[in-house]
Amino acid sequence: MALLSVRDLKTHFFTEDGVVRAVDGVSFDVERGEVLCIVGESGSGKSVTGLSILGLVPDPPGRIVAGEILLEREDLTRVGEKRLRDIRGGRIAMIFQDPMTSLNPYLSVRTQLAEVLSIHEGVKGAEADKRIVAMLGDVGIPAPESRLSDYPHQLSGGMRQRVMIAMALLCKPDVLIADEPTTALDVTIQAQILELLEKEKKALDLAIILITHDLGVVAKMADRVAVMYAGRIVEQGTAAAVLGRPCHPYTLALRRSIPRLDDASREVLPAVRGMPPPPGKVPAGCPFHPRCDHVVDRCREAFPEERELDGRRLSCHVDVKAGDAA
Amino acid sequence: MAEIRTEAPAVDLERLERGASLWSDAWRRLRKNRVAVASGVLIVLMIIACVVVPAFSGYDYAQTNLELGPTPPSKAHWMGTDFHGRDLMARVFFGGRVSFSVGIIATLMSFAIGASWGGIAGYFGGRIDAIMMRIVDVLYTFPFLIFVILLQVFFAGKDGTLHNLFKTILGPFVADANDPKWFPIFQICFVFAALGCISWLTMARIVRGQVIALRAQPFVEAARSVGVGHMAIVFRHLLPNALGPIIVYATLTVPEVMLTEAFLSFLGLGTQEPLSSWGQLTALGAEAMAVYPWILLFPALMLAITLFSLNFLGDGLRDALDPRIRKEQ
Repeated sequence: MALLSVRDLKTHFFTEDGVVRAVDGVSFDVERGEVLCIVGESGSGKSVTGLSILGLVPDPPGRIVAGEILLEREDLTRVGEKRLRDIRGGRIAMIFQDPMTSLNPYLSVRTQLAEVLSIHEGVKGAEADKRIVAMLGDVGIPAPESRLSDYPHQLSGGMRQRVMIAMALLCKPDVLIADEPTTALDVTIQAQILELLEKEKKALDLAIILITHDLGVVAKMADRVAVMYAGRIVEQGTAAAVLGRPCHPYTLALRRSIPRLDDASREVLPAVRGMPPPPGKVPAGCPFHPRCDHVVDRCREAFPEERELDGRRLSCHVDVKAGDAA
Repeated sequence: MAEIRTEAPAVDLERLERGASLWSDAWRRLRKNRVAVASGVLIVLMIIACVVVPAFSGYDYAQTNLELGPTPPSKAHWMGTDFHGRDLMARVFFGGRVSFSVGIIATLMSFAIGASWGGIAGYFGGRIDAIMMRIVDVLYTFPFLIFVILLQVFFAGKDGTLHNLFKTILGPFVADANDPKWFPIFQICFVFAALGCISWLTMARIVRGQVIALRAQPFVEAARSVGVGHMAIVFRHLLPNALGPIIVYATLTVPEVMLTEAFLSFLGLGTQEPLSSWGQLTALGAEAMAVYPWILLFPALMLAITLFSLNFLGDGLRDALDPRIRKEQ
């Protein structure tokens, strides 16, 4: 059994305009020492999946309506808030997209990190300072003892993201959910942060769920990839299989939309045509069918059952030849 | 030519040693703000004067001298005497005790009840927010004056429920709780309680608004994601972020309640002769302004100095509590 196993998770938002099925039947596993990348467009339900695992979906209007989130056989959808609080930061931690606003501007680095230690391990004072300095040094902050009393506004974006990572990893969790951790950073810092995640994964034997829409990040980091569209995973498998020989028309289209420096023949960058469906107005059948180049009648009627194909799990009625990728 | 420095950038070692909390950092920043420090000193001096002067001036605040009557400031009476020949300085500083107590109690109520009430309502939102804020609305719409008059008439008379309650509480501490000399003290406590009841309402609204804006900030989610509980988020993460408006409003509350107390006293519902308060003294002085200006001047001066100092101190506190504002002069 996997370390973290999500089974048929459904997180819906009950708004005045109707029910938004942000996550609608998502299943995946993550193992220790493995990076699972969840890719998809904005609004595909990637972030809500991450928040659901930690029980942080804003309720109301959101609610996990079905499914299981098993952390070593403990179903997180059924445990109480108190147990969840122990798990958050203790066993599963999360880092967020915007390091500029993810730290409390009124609290010093020491205060924010010390709070986590005192919550989970009851460690305080000089002992806590020692742990914090060690952790900050570990995530690559130079002269960490001189940073303890700094406030977030005195740190650069990359530094803040490092502090966030330090905060998330301080109590040695088993799973790290990284929700677009590099989107708000510039390119050189992005690479550094990704390397840091890679390093910490090895050091702590972490399972990392990396949520991103950047296929470059996926190619660099992923052991396995899950492609999300309109609240469902349409294709998942090893990075080599999913990115190298995509089988789902959506993955194919995403692959094709990556600009390539070595290919001068294409003047116009092919984009995935159409727009993702607005929340709450997901088309019947396969939600991708209005944008799909390979659409058949069945696609409009029923969501395709997940099936095994060429080393991956795929939800598509059509067998698209992997060779179409290029 | 610029001197080339070779030593490493100076790390503030002293700062590192003392675990810099929000408050110790704020205190360090506040000390650099000269106006705020001067105001703080002035307020402390004023409080000391209010405690010390009535006890050691040699005059009793209630001792009348009808033959003397109102006299201008002199060597014997530094602030002059009032209509009944009472030493004005003793009366002014005795009145300061009442006025400061009213201000402090109202501010504490604002902080303790108002900020937490608004913080909790704003953070949890939904039904909790609706219920909590409707309670505030109901208390708001209650006409304060009628409320106080009704309480006074029905419960705060010589044998009223509130007075009996007061006597019961006082009982274990004094020889004879029924001694009429305690009645004026009860009256003042009554004013404190009445003002305390309303002083937190606006604070609750202000804080709620702030917290609603703040709770959508990603740092709240980030704090939740490492296991911080709801109450810790409200009190450790959100309220400090709202401290700016809280402090500013608190410094406005003090003069407001001091003036309300004066108003109640003027109507005969608050501090009663021979006790005094700044509001009451100013109100009396205003009647005789043209003939005996000093009777107005001294209490009004003390009131003005205190209110000014509070405002400057409030400004300084707000800046000092915000780590992003750095006025390193």
